[in-house]
Amino acid sequence: MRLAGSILVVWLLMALAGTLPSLEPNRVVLEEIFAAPSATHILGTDELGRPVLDRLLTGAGVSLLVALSTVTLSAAIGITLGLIAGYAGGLTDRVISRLIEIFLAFPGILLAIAMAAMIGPGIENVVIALAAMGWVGYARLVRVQVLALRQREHVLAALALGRTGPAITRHHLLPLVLAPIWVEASFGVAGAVVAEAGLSFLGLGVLPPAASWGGMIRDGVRYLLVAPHLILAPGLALFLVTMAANQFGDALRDRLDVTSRNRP
Amino acid sequence: MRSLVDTLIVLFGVSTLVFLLLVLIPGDPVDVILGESAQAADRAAMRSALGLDQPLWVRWVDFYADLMRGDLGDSLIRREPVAELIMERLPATLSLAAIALALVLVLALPLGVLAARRHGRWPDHLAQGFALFGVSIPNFWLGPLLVLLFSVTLGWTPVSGDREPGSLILPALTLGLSMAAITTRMVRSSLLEVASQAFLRTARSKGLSEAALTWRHALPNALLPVITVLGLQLGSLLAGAVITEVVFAWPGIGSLLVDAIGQRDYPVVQGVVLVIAIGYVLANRLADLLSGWLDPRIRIAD
Repeated sequence: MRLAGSILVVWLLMALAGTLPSLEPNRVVLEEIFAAPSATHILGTDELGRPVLDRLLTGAGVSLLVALSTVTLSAAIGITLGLIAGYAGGLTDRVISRLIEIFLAFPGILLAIAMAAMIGPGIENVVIALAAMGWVGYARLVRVQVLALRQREHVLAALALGRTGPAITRHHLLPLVLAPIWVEASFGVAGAVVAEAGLSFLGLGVLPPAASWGGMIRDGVRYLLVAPHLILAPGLALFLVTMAANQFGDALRDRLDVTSRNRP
Repeated sequence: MRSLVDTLIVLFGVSTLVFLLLVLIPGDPVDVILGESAQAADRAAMRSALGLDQPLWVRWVDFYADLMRGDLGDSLIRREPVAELIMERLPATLSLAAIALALVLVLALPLGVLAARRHGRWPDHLAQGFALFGVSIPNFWLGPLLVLLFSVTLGWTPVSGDREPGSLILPALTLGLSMAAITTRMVRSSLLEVASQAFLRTARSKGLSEAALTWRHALPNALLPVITVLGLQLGSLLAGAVITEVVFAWPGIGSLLVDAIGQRDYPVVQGVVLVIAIGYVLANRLADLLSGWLDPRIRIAD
Protein backbone atom coordinates (compact mmCIF):
# COMPACT_ATOMS: atom_id res chain seq x y z
CA MET A 1 0.00 0.00 0.00
CA ARG A 2 2.86 2.35 0.91
CA LEU A 3 4.79 1.45 -2.26
CA ALA A 4 1.65 1.86 -4.36
CA GLY A 5 1.00 5.24 -2.74
CA SER A 6 4.57 6.39 -3.42
CA ILE A 7 4.34 5.39 -7.08
CA LEU A 8 1.11 7.36 -7.44
CA VAL A 9 2.73 10.38 -5.80
CA VAL A 10 5.71 10.10 -8.19
CA TRP A 11 3.23 9.98 -11.08
CA LEU A 12 1.66 13.20 -9.82
CA LEU A 13 5.08 14.86 -9.46
CA MET A 14 6.05 13.71 -12.96
CA ALA A 15 2.86 15.21 -14.32
CA LEU A 16 3.64 18.50 -12.53
CA ALA A 17 7.23 18.42 -13.82
CA GLY A 18 5.77 17.84 -17.27
CA THR A 19 4.39 21.38 -17.24
CA LEU A 20 7.84 22.95 -16.74
CA PRO A 21 8.54 25.45 -19.54
CA SER A 22 12.17 24.31 -19.84
CA LEU A 23 11.07 20.94 -21.27
CA GLU A 24 11.39 20.43 -25.00
CA PRO A 25 9.34 17.29 -25.76
CA ASN A 26 8.81 18.25 -29.40
CA ARG A 27 12.23 19.64 -30.29
CA VAL A 28 13.49 17.73 -33.32
CA VAL A 29 17.28 17.37 -33.47
CA LEU A 30 18.14 15.17 -36.42
CA GLU A 31 21.85 14.98 -35.53
CA GLU A 32 20.94 13.26 -32.29
CA ILE A 33 18.50 10.54 -33.35
CA PHE A 34 18.45 7.28 -31.35
CA ALA A 35 20.99 8.58 -28.83
CA ALA A 36 21.46 6.05 -26.05
CA PRO A 37 20.88 7.25 -22.48
CA SER A 38 23.71 9.58 -21.39
CA ALA A 39 24.40 12.51 -19.10
CA THR A 40 22.84 15.06 -21.47
CA HIS A 41 19.85 12.87 -22.37
CA ILE A 42 19.16 10.74 -19.32
CA LEU A 43 16.73 8.46 -21.17
CA GLY A 44 18.20 8.95 -24.63
CA THR A 45 16.46 10.38 -27.68
CA ASP A 46 13.90 9.00 -30.11
CA GLU A 47 13.72 8.61 -33.90
CA LEU A 48 13.51 12.39 -34.35
CA GLY A 49 16.15 13.21 -31.76
CA ARG A 50 13.52 14.32 -29.23
CA PRO A 51 14.50 13.77 -25.57
CA VAL A 52 12.65 10.70 -24.19
CA LEU A 53 12.65 12.05 -20.62
CA ASP A 54 10.86 15.27 -21.61
CA ARG A 55 8.30 13.26 -23.55
CA LEU A 56 7.88 10.85 -20.64
CA LEU A 57 7.10 13.74 -18.28
CA THR A 58 4.60 15.45 -20.58
CA GLY A 59 3.10 12.01 -21.22
CA ALA A 60 2.61 11.60 -17.47
CA GLY A 61 0.51 14.76 -17.51
CA VAL A 62 -1.62 13.43 -20.36
CA SER A 63 -2.26 10.10 -18.64
CA LEU A 64 -3.09 11.79 -15.34
CA LEU A 65 -5.42 14.29 -16.97
CA VAL A 66 -7.21 11.60 -18.99
CA ALA A 67 -7.47 9.24 -16.00
CA LEU A 68 -8.90 11.85 -13.64
CA SER A 69 -11.30 13.30 -16.23
CA THR A 70 -12.47 9.84 -17.26
CA VAL A 71 -13.07 8.69 -13.70
CA THR A 72 -14.87 11.92 -12.80
CA LEU A 73 -17.09 11.86 -15.87
CA SER A 74 -17.80 8.12 -15.57
CA ALA A 75 -18.60 8.44 -11.87
CA ALA A 76 -20.87 11.46 -12.42
CA ILE A 77 -22.90 9.68 -15.10
CA GLY A 78 -22.88 6.30 -13.36
CA ILE A 79 -23.78 7.59 -9.90
CA THR A 80 -26.62 9.74 -11.26
CA LEU A 81 -28.15 6.90 -13.28
CA GLY A 82 -27.63 4.42 -10.43
CA LEU A 83 -29.32 6.70 -7.90
CA ILE A 84 -32.25 7.36 -10.23
CA ALA A 85 -32.70 3.66 -11.00
CA GLY A 86 -32.40 2.53 -7.42
CA TYR A 87 -34.58 5.25 -5.95
CA ALA A 88 -37.27 5.59 -8.60
CA GLY A 89 -37.74 1.86 -9.25
CA GLY A 90 -40.46 0.69 -11.61
CA LEU A 91 -40.16 1.35 -15.33
CA THR A 92 -37.27 3.81 -14.92
CA ASP A 93 -35.28 1.18 -13.09
CA ARG A 94 -36.09 -1.47 -15.72
CA VAL A 95 -34.93 0.78 -18.56
CA ILE A 96 -31.68 1.80 -16.82
CA SER A 97 -31.01 -1.78 -15.74
CA ARG A 98 -31.37 -3.01 -19.31
CA LEU A 99 -29.01 -0.28 -20.44
CA ILE A 100 -26.47 -1.34 -17.81
CA GLU A 101 -26.86 -4.96 -18.89
CA ILE A 102 -26.30 -4.10 -22.56
CA PHE A 103 -23.19 -2.02 -21.86
CA LEU A 104 -21.85 -4.75 -19.56
CA ALA A 105 -22.39 -7.23 -22.39
CA PHE A 106 -20.03 -5.15 -24.53
CA PRO A 107 -16.32 -5.70 -24.01
CA GLY A 108 -15.26 -2.30 -22.62
CA ILE A 109 -12.06 -1.67 -24.55
CA LEU A 110 -13.77 -2.65 -27.80
CA LEU A 111 -16.49 -0.05 -27.23
CA ALA A 112 -13.81 2.56 -26.55
CA ILE A 113 -11.91 1.59 -29.71
CA ALA A 114 -15.09 1.67 -31.78
CA MET A 115 -16.17 5.03 -30.37
CA ALA A 116 -12.73 6.58 -30.77
CA ALA A 117 -12.69 5.28 -34.35
CA MET A 118 -15.95 7.08 -35.07
CA ILE A 119 -15.49 10.37 -33.23
CA GLY A 120 -11.80 10.63 -34.12
CA PRO A 121 -8.62 11.01 -32.07
CA GLY A 122 -7.86 13.79 -29.57
CA ILE A 123 -7.69 14.04 -25.81
CA GLU A 124 -11.34 15.07 -25.21
CA ASN A 125 -12.58 12.30 -27.48
CA VAL A 126 -10.49 9.75 -25.58
CA VAL A 127 -12.17 10.83 -22.35
CA ILE A 128 -15.62 10.57 -23.95
CA ALA A 129 -14.87 7.13 -25.39
CA LEU A 130 -13.51 5.86 -22.07
CA ALA A 131 -16.38 7.30 -20.04
CA ALA A 132 -18.81 5.57 -22.41
CA MET A 133 -17.49 2.28 -21.09
CA GLY A 134 -16.64 3.46 -17.58
CA TRP A 135 -20.00 4.66 -16.23
CA VAL A 136 -21.54 1.19 -16.10
CA GLY A 137 -19.59 -0.02 -13.07
CA TYR A 138 -20.64 2.94 -10.94
CA ALA A 139 -24.27 2.76 -12.04
CA ARG A 140 -24.53 -0.93 -11.18
CA LEU A 141 -22.86 -0.47 -7.79
CA VAL A 142 -24.94 2.51 -6.77
CA ARG A 143 -28.21 0.99 -7.97
CA VAL A 144 -27.73 -2.22 -5.98
CA GLN A 145 -26.68 -0.28 -2.87
CA VAL A 146 -29.61 2.10 -3.06
CA LEU A 147 -32.05 -0.77 -3.52
CA ALA A 148 -30.69 -2.33 -0.34
CA LEU A 149 -30.62 0.95 1.59
CA ARG A 150 -34.04 2.24 0.56
CA GLN A 151 -35.91 0.24 3.15
CA ARG A 152 -33.52 1.09 6.00
CA GLU A 153 -35.07 2.79 9.03
CA HIS A 154 -33.22 6.08 8.71
CA VAL A 155 -34.45 6.51 5.15
CA LEU A 156 -38.00 5.63 6.09
CA ALA A 157 -37.75 8.04 9.04
CA ALA A 158 -36.59 10.85 6.75
CA LEU A 159 -39.43 10.02 4.40
CA ALA A 160 -41.91 10.13 7.30
CA LEU A 161 -40.52 13.52 8.30
CA GLY A 162 -41.52 14.76 4.87
CA ARG A 163 -38.14 15.12 3.22
CA THR A 164 -38.14 14.95 -0.56
CA GLY A 165 -36.44 12.46 -2.86
CA PRO A 166 -33.41 14.59 -3.82
CA ALA A 167 -32.71 15.50 -0.18
CA ILE A 168 -32.98 11.90 0.95
CA THR A 169 -30.74 10.83 -1.89
CA ARG A 170 -28.12 13.43 -1.05
CA HIS A 171 -28.09 13.21 2.73
CA HIS A 172 -29.15 9.66 3.52
CA LEU A 173 -28.22 7.46 0.56
CA LEU A 174 -25.16 8.93 -1.18
CA PRO A 175 -22.86 9.02 1.88
CA LEU A 176 -23.45 5.32 2.52
CA VAL A 177 -22.85 4.42 -1.11
CA LEU A 178 -19.54 6.26 -1.37
CA ALA A 179 -17.14 3.62 0.01
CA PRO A 180 -17.41 1.11 -2.83
CA ILE A 181 -17.34 3.99 -5.31
CA TRP A 182 -13.83 4.92 -4.13
CA VAL A 183 -12.74 1.34 -4.76
CA GLU A 184 -14.30 1.39 -8.22
CA ALA A 185 -12.59 4.72 -8.90
CA SER A 186 -9.12 3.38 -8.04
CA PHE A 187 -9.59 0.50 -10.45
CA GLY A 188 -11.06 3.03 -12.85
CA VAL A 189 -7.82 5.04 -12.77
CA ALA A 190 -5.82 1.90 -13.60
CA GLY A 191 -8.22 1.01 -16.39
CA ALA A 192 -8.25 4.51 -17.85
CA VAL A 193 -4.45 4.80 -17.87
CA VAL A 194 -4.07 1.52 -19.76
CA ALA A 195 -6.99 2.25 -22.06
CA GLU A 196 -5.71 5.73 -22.96
CA ALA A 197 -2.29 4.28 -23.70
CA GLY A 198 -3.91 1.48 -25.70
CA LEU A 199 -5.93 3.92 -27.81
CA SER A 200 -2.83 6.06 -28.36
CA PHE A 201 -0.92 2.90 -29.28
CA LEU A 202 -3.52 2.21 -31.97
CA GLY A 203 -3.29 5.83 -33.15
CA LEU A 204 -6.76 6.64 -31.78
CA GLY A 205 -5.69 8.61 -28.73
CA VAL A 206 -3.67 11.72 -28.20
CA LEU A 207 -2.66 13.24 -31.52
CA PRO A 208 1.04 13.39 -32.45
CA PRO A 209 3.32 15.21 -32.01
CA ALA A 210 1.96 15.52 -28.44
CA ALA A 211 3.63 12.91 -26.25
CA SER A 212 1.71 10.10 -24.61
CA TRP A 213 3.04 6.88 -23.14
CA GLY A 214 1.01 4.71 -25.51
CA GLY A 215 2.09 6.78 -28.50
CA MET A 216 5.74 6.54 -27.43
CA ILE A 217 5.43 2.75 -27.31
CA ARG A 218 3.74 2.77 -30.72
CA ASP A 219 6.61 4.75 -32.25
CA GLY A 220 9.23 2.80 -30.32
CA VAL A 221 8.00 -0.60 -31.54
CA ARG A 222 8.94 0.37 -35.08
CA TYR A 223 12.56 0.77 -34.01
CA LEU A 224 12.57 -2.11 -31.55
CA LEU A 225 15.72 -3.67 -32.97
CA VAL A 226 17.62 -0.38 -33.38
CA ALA A 227 16.67 1.42 -30.18
CA PRO A 228 14.98 -0.82 -27.58
CA HIS A 229 15.32 1.97 -24.98
CA LEU A 230 12.43 3.82 -26.64
CA ILE A 231 9.77 1.45 -25.32
CA LEU A 232 11.36 0.69 -21.95
CA ALA A 233 10.75 3.99 -20.13
CA PRO A 234 7.12 4.65 -21.17
CA GLY A 235 6.19 0.98 -20.75
CA LEU A 236 7.70 0.76 -17.30
CA ALA A 237 5.99 3.99 -16.23
CA LEU A 238 2.68 2.70 -17.54
CA PHE A 239 3.11 -0.68 -15.87
CA LEU A 240 4.07 0.79 -12.49
CA VAL A 241 1.24 3.32 -12.42
CA THR A 242 -1.31 0.68 -13.41
CA MET A 243 0.00 -1.77 -10.85
CA ALA A 244 0.00 0.88 -8.13
CA ALA A 245 -3.57 1.94 -8.90
CA ASN A 246 -4.71 -1.70 -8.96
CA GLN A 247 -2.98 -2.43 -5.68
CA PHE A 248 -4.39 0.73 -4.15
CA GLY A 249 -7.86 -0.46 -5.15
CA ASP A 250 -7.23 -3.91 -3.67
CA ALA A 251 -6.00 -2.45 -0.39
CA LEU A 252 -8.89 -0.01 -0.23
CA ARG A 253 -11.39 -2.82 -0.84
CA ASP A 254 -9.87 -4.99 1.89
CA ARG A 255 -9.95 -2.08 4.30
CA LEU A 256 -13.55 -1.11 3.54
CA ASP A 257 -14.96 -4.61 3.23
CA VAL A 258 -15.59 -5.84 6.75
CA THR A 259 -16.72 -9.29 5.58
CA SER A 260 -13.45 -10.07 3.81
CA ARG A 261 -11.30 -8.86 6.69
CA ASN A 262 -11.90 -11.98 8.76
CA ARG A 263 -11.59 -14.38 5.86
CA PRO A 264 -8.40 -16.41 5.37
CA MET B 1 -36.51 -20.13 -21.73
CA ARG B 2 -36.31 -16.91 -19.77
CA SER B 3 -32.55 -16.82 -20.18
CA LEU B 4 -32.99 -17.27 -23.93
CA VAL B 5 -35.28 -14.23 -24.09
CA ASP B 6 -32.77 -12.28 -21.97
CA THR B 7 -29.97 -13.24 -24.32
CA LEU B 8 -31.98 -12.12 -27.32
CA ILE B 9 -32.77 -8.77 -25.68
CA VAL B 10 -29.10 -8.22 -24.86
CA LEU B 11 -28.06 -9.20 -28.41
CA PHE B 12 -30.64 -6.77 -29.77
CA GLY B 13 -29.35 -3.99 -27.52
CA VAL B 14 -25.71 -4.66 -28.33
CA SER B 15 -26.33 -4.68 -32.08
CA THR B 16 -28.36 -1.46 -31.84
CA LEU B 17 -25.44 0.12 -30.01
CA VAL B 18 -23.13 -0.97 -32.84
CA PHE B 19 -25.61 0.43 -35.38
CA LEU B 20 -25.71 3.75 -33.55
CA LEU B 21 -21.90 4.05 -33.64
CA LEU B 22 -22.18 5.31 -37.20
CA VAL B 23 -24.27 8.24 -35.98
CA LEU B 24 -21.30 9.37 -33.87
CA ILE B 25 -19.18 10.34 -36.87
CA PRO B 26 -18.98 14.11 -36.55
CA GLY B 27 -20.15 16.14 -39.55
CA ASP B 28 -20.96 14.42 -42.80
CA PRO B 29 -19.52 10.88 -43.03
CA VAL B 30 -19.29 11.30 -46.82
CA ASP B 31 -16.95 14.28 -46.33
CA VAL B 32 -14.95 12.28 -43.82
CA ILE B 33 -14.58 9.34 -46.20
CA LEU B 34 -14.12 11.07 -49.57
CA GLY B 35 -12.76 14.46 -48.54
CA GLU B 36 -14.59 17.70 -49.24
CA SER B 37 -13.31 18.07 -52.78
CA ALA B 38 -15.03 14.92 -54.09
CA GLN B 39 -17.31 14.93 -57.18
CA ALA B 40 -21.03 15.30 -56.57
CA ALA B 41 -21.76 11.97 -58.31
CA ASP B 42 -19.27 10.10 -56.13
CA ARG B 43 -20.72 11.72 -53.06
CA ALA B 44 -24.24 10.69 -54.01
CA ALA B 45 -23.07 7.12 -54.70
CA MET B 46 -21.30 6.95 -51.34
CA ARG B 47 -24.34 8.44 -49.64
CA SER B 48 -26.62 5.73 -50.92
CA ALA B 49 -23.97 3.01 -50.35
CA LEU B 50 -23.99 4.00 -46.68
CA GLY B 51 -27.78 4.36 -46.71
CA LEU B 52 -27.42 7.97 -45.55
CA ASP B 53 -30.16 9.11 -47.94
CA GLN B 54 -32.66 7.28 -45.73
CA PRO B 55 -34.02 8.37 -42.37
CA LEU B 56 -32.37 6.78 -39.33
CA TRP B 57 -35.21 4.42 -38.47
CA VAL B 58 -35.33 3.04 -42.03
CA ARG B 59 -31.59 2.39 -41.87
CA TRP B 60 -32.09 0.70 -38.53
CA VAL B 61 -34.77 -1.64 -39.91
CA ASP B 62 -32.58 -2.35 -42.97
CA PHE B 63 -29.64 -3.06 -40.68
CA TYR B 64 -31.61 -5.78 -38.93
CA ALA B 65 -33.11 -7.15 -42.13
CA ASP B 66 -29.58 -7.49 -43.56
CA LEU B 67 -28.23 -8.86 -40.31
CA MET B 68 -30.82 -11.63 -40.29
CA ARG B 69 -29.52 -12.74 -43.69
CA GLY B 70 -25.92 -12.58 -42.46
CA ASP B 71 -25.30 -9.49 -44.60
CA LEU B 72 -23.00 -6.98 -42.90
CA GLY B 73 -22.78 -4.65 -45.90
CA ASP B 74 -19.84 -4.15 -48.27
CA SER B 75 -16.38 -2.80 -47.60
CA LEU B 76 -15.98 0.75 -48.96
CA ILE B 77 -12.35 0.12 -49.89
CA ARG B 78 -12.23 -3.50 -51.03
CA ARG B 79 -15.79 -3.65 -52.42
CA GLU B 80 -16.24 -7.10 -50.94
CA PRO B 81 -18.93 -8.23 -48.50
CA VAL B 82 -17.83 -7.48 -44.93
CA ALA B 83 -19.04 -10.91 -43.81
CA GLU B 84 -16.63 -12.59 -46.24
CA LEU B 85 -13.69 -10.45 -45.11
CA ILE B 86 -14.45 -11.40 -41.52
CA MET B 87 -14.82 -15.11 -42.30
CA GLU B 88 -11.43 -15.02 -44.04
CA ARG B 89 -9.75 -13.59 -40.97
CA LEU B 90 -11.75 -15.24 -38.18
CA PRO B 91 -9.86 -18.58 -38.10
CA ALA B 92 -6.56 -16.79 -37.34
CA THR B 93 -8.13 -14.93 -34.41
CA LEU B 94 -9.90 -18.01 -33.07
CA SER B 95 -6.76 -20.14 -33.20
CA LEU B 96 -4.83 -17.44 -31.39
CA ALA B 97 -7.56 -17.21 -28.76
CA ALA B 98 -7.73 -21.00 -28.39
CA ILE B 99 -3.98 -21.30 -27.79
CA ALA B 100 -4.10 -18.37 -25.37
CA LEU B 101 -6.94 -20.10 -23.49
CA ALA B 102 -4.97 -23.37 -23.33
CA LEU B 103 -2.01 -21.41 -21.99
CA VAL B 104 -4.26 -19.78 -19.38
CA LEU B 105 -5.45 -23.16 -18.10
CA VAL B 106 -1.93 -24.64 -18.08
CA LEU B 107 -0.60 -21.66 -16.10
CA ALA B 108 -3.50 -20.71 -13.86
CA LEU B 109 -4.84 -24.03 -12.58
CA PRO B 110 -1.59 -25.40 -11.10
CA LEU B 111 -0.51 -21.98 -9.86
CA GLY B 112 -3.87 -21.29 -8.21
CA VAL B 113 -3.96 -24.73 -6.58
CA LEU B 114 -0.38 -24.35 -5.37
CA ALA B 115 -1.12 -20.92 -3.92
CA ALA B 116 -4.18 -22.19 -2.04
CA ARG B 117 -2.45 -25.31 -0.70
CA ARG B 118 0.56 -23.31 0.49
CA HIS B 119 -1.64 -20.46 1.68
CA GLY B 120 0.34 -17.60 3.24
CA ARG B 121 3.72 -19.08 2.31
CA TRP B 122 6.13 -18.26 -0.51
CA PRO B 123 4.36 -20.15 -3.35
CA ASP B 124 1.25 -18.18 -2.43
CA HIS B 125 3.12 -14.87 -2.49
CA LEU B 126 4.69 -15.86 -5.80
CA ALA B 127 1.28 -16.62 -7.32
CA GLN B 128 -0.16 -13.39 -5.95
CA GLY B 129 2.76 -11.43 -7.35
CA PHE B 130 2.29 -13.11 -10.72
CA ALA B 131 -1.41 -12.21 -10.62
CA LEU B 132 -0.74 -8.53 -9.90
CA PHE B 133 1.99 -8.43 -12.56
CA GLY B 134 -0.23 -10.10 -15.14
CA VAL B 135 -3.23 -7.83 -14.57
CA SER B 136 -1.14 -4.68 -14.66
CA ILE B 137 1.17 -5.18 -17.61
CA PRO B 138 -0.35 -3.72 -20.79
CA ASN B 139 -0.29 -6.24 -23.65
CA PHE B 140 1.08 -3.73 -26.16
CA TRP B 141 4.17 -3.42 -23.97
CA LEU B 142 4.37 -7.08 -22.98
CA GLY B 143 4.40 -8.18 -26.64
CA PRO B 144 7.44 -6.11 -27.71
CA LEU B 145 9.24 -7.06 -24.47
CA LEU B 146 8.70 -10.76 -25.16
CA VAL B 147 9.97 -10.26 -28.71
CA LEU B 148 13.07 -8.48 -27.39
CA LEU B 149 13.73 -11.21 -24.85
CA PHE B 150 12.87 -14.43 -26.67
CA SER B 151 13.39 -13.54 -30.33
CA VAL B 152 16.11 -10.91 -30.36
CA THR B 153 18.22 -11.74 -27.31
CA LEU B 154 17.71 -15.49 -26.92
CA GLY B 155 16.78 -16.28 -30.52
CA TRP B 156 14.27 -18.98 -29.45
CA THR B 157 11.30 -17.81 -31.51
CA PRO B 158 10.84 -16.08 -34.86
CA VAL B 159 10.37 -12.30 -34.67
CA SER B 160 6.92 -12.11 -36.26
CA GLY B 161 4.48 -13.13 -38.91
CA ASP B 162 4.68 -16.71 -40.15
CA ARG B 163 2.35 -19.45 -39.07
CA GLU B 164 4.99 -21.88 -37.84
CA PRO B 165 4.38 -23.25 -34.35
CA GLY B 166 7.11 -21.15 -32.72
CA SER B 167 5.56 -17.91 -33.91
CA LEU B 168 2.30 -18.69 -32.11
CA ILE B 169 3.61 -18.84 -28.60
CA LEU B 170 4.53 -15.18 -28.04
CA PRO B 171 1.24 -13.73 -29.35
CA ALA B 172 -0.69 -16.31 -27.33
CA LEU B 173 1.29 -15.48 -24.19
CA THR B 174 0.81 -11.75 -24.78
CA LEU B 175 -2.92 -12.24 -25.20
CA GLY B 176 -3.39 -14.73 -22.38
CA LEU B 177 -1.22 -13.41 -19.56
CA SER B 178 -3.74 -11.05 -17.96
CA MET B 179 -6.45 -13.71 -18.21
CA ALA B 180 -4.05 -16.23 -16.63
CA ALA B 181 -3.43 -13.76 -13.81
CA ILE B 182 -7.13 -13.20 -13.13
CA THR B 183 -7.85 -16.92 -13.32
CA THR B 184 -5.00 -17.76 -10.92
CA ARG B 185 -6.49 -15.35 -8.40
CA MET B 186 -9.93 -16.82 -8.90
CA VAL B 187 -8.79 -20.46 -8.52
CA ARG B 188 -6.88 -19.54 -5.36
CA SER B 189 -9.64 -17.61 -3.62
CA SER B 190 -12.31 -20.07 -4.71
CA LEU B 191 -10.31 -23.01 -3.34
CA LEU B 192 -9.74 -21.19 -0.06
CA GLU B 193 -13.46 -20.49 0.15
CA VAL B 194 -14.32 -24.15 -0.43
CA ALA B 195 -11.60 -25.35 1.97
CA SER B 196 -13.55 -24.16 4.98
CA GLN B 197 -16.68 -26.10 4.11
CA ALA B 198 -18.07 -29.08 5.97
CA PHE B 199 -17.87 -31.67 3.19
CA LEU B 200 -14.11 -31.27 3.08
CA ARG B 201 -13.85 -31.77 6.81
CA THR B 202 -15.85 -34.97 6.38
CA ALA B 203 -13.62 -36.14 3.54
CA ARG B 204 -10.51 -35.35 5.54
CA SER B 205 -11.81 -37.22 8.58
CA LYS B 206 -12.34 -40.28 6.36
CA GLY B 207 -8.55 -40.28 6.02
CA LEU B 208 -8.24 -39.15 2.39
CA SER B 209 -4.88 -37.79 1.29
CA GLU B 210 -4.42 -34.03 0.80
CA ALA B 211 -3.94 -34.57 -2.95
CA ALA B 212 -7.19 -36.51 -3.23
CA LEU B 213 -8.94 -33.84 -1.18
CA THR B 214 -7.71 -31.05 -3.44
CA TRP B 215 -8.18 -32.64 -6.84
CA ARG B 216 -11.25 -34.85 -6.24
CA HIS B 217 -13.28 -32.84 -3.75
CA ALA B 218 -12.20 -29.23 -3.49
CA LEU B 219 -11.28 -28.36 -7.07
CA PRO B 220 -14.51 -29.51 -8.81
CA ASN B 221 -16.48 -27.33 -6.41
CA ALA B 222 -14.06 -24.45 -6.63
CA LEU B 223 -14.17 -24.45 -10.44
CA LEU B 224 -17.77 -23.28 -10.76
CA PRO B 225 -17.09 -19.57 -10.16
CA VAL B 226 -13.88 -19.96 -12.16
CA ILE B 227 -15.85 -21.10 -15.21
CA THR B 228 -18.12 -18.06 -14.98
CA VAL B 229 -15.09 -15.78 -14.84
CA LEU B 230 -13.50 -17.66 -17.74
CA GLY B 231 -16.63 -16.99 -19.79
CA LEU B 232 -16.40 -13.29 -19.02
CA GLN B 233 -12.72 -13.37 -19.86
CA LEU B 234 -13.21 -15.23 -23.12
CA GLY B 235 -14.93 -12.23 -24.60
CA SER B 236 -12.20 -9.90 -23.34
CA LEU B 237 -9.77 -12.29 -25.00
CA LEU B 238 -11.43 -11.54 -28.35
CA ALA B 239 -11.30 -7.80 -27.62
CA GLY B 240 -7.71 -8.01 -26.38
CA ALA B 241 -6.82 -9.81 -29.60
CA VAL B 242 -7.29 -6.49 -31.38
CA ILE B 243 -4.18 -4.97 -29.80
CA THR B 244 -2.20 -8.24 -29.73
CA GLU B 245 -2.80 -8.79 -33.44
CA VAL B 246 -1.52 -5.30 -34.21
CA VAL B 247 1.62 -5.89 -32.13
CA PHE B 248 2.44 -9.15 -33.91
CA ALA B 249 0.97 -8.30 -37.35
CA TRP B 250 -1.34 -11.28 -36.86
CA PRO B 251 -3.77 -11.64 -39.80
CA GLY B 252 -6.98 -11.88 -37.73
CA ILE B 253 -10.12 -9.78 -37.36
CA GLY B 254 -8.35 -7.48 -34.88
CA SER B 255 -5.87 -6.21 -37.44
CA LEU B 256 -8.74 -6.13 -39.96
CA LEU B 257 -10.53 -3.77 -37.57
CA VAL B 258 -7.55 -1.49 -37.01
CA ASP B 259 -6.76 -1.35 -40.75
CA ALA B 260 -10.39 -0.51 -41.45
CA ILE B 261 -10.32 2.27 -38.83
CA GLY B 262 -7.25 3.75 -40.52
CA GLN B 263 -8.98 3.63 -43.92
CA ARG B 264 -12.30 4.93 -42.55
CA ASP B 265 -13.93 1.77 -43.87
CA TYR B 266 -16.88 2.14 -41.51
CA PRO B 267 -18.94 -0.91 -42.60
CA VAL B 268 -15.95 -3.16 -41.83
CA VAL B 269 -15.44 -1.43 -38.47
CA GLN B 270 -19.11 -1.96 -37.63
CA GLY B 271 -19.05 -5.58 -38.78
CA VAL B 272 -15.97 -6.59 -36.79
CA VAL B 273 -17.17 -4.80 -33.65
CA LEU B 274 -20.53 -6.54 -33.98
CA VAL B 275 -18.99 -9.99 -34.43
CA ILE B 276 -16.71 -9.57 -31.40
CA ALA B 277 -19.54 -8.20 -29.26
CA ILE B 278 -21.85 -11.07 -30.21
CA GLY B 279 -19.04 -13.54 -29.51
CA TYR B 280 -18.65 -11.95 -26.09
CA VAL B 281 -22.35 -12.25 -25.22
CA LEU B 282 -22.48 -15.86 -26.40
CA ALA B 283 -19.30 -16.81 -24.48
CA ASN B 284 -20.84 -15.45 -21.30
CA ARG B 285 -24.11 -17.32 -21.82
CA LEU B 286 -22.20 -20.49 -22.60
CA ALA B 287 -20.26 -20.16 -19.33
CA ASP B 288 -23.54 -19.65 -17.43
CA LEU B 289 -25.07 -22.72 -19.04
CA LEU B 290 -21.95 -24.77 -18.41
CA SER B 291 -21.69 -23.90 -14.74
CA GLY B 292 -25.42 -24.56 -14.37
CA TRP B 293 -25.00 -27.95 -15.99
CA LEU B 294 -21.98 -28.80 -13.84
CA ASP B 295 -23.58 -27.72 -10.58
CA PRO B 296 -26.38 -30.03 -9.47
CA ARG B 297 -27.64 -27.31 -7.10
CA ILE B 298 -28.30 -24.89 -9.94
CA ARG B 299 -29.49 -27.71 -12.25
CA ILE B 300 -32.18 -28.80 -9.81
CA ALA B 301 -33.21 -25.26 -8.88
CA ASP B 302 -33.92 -24.58 -12.55
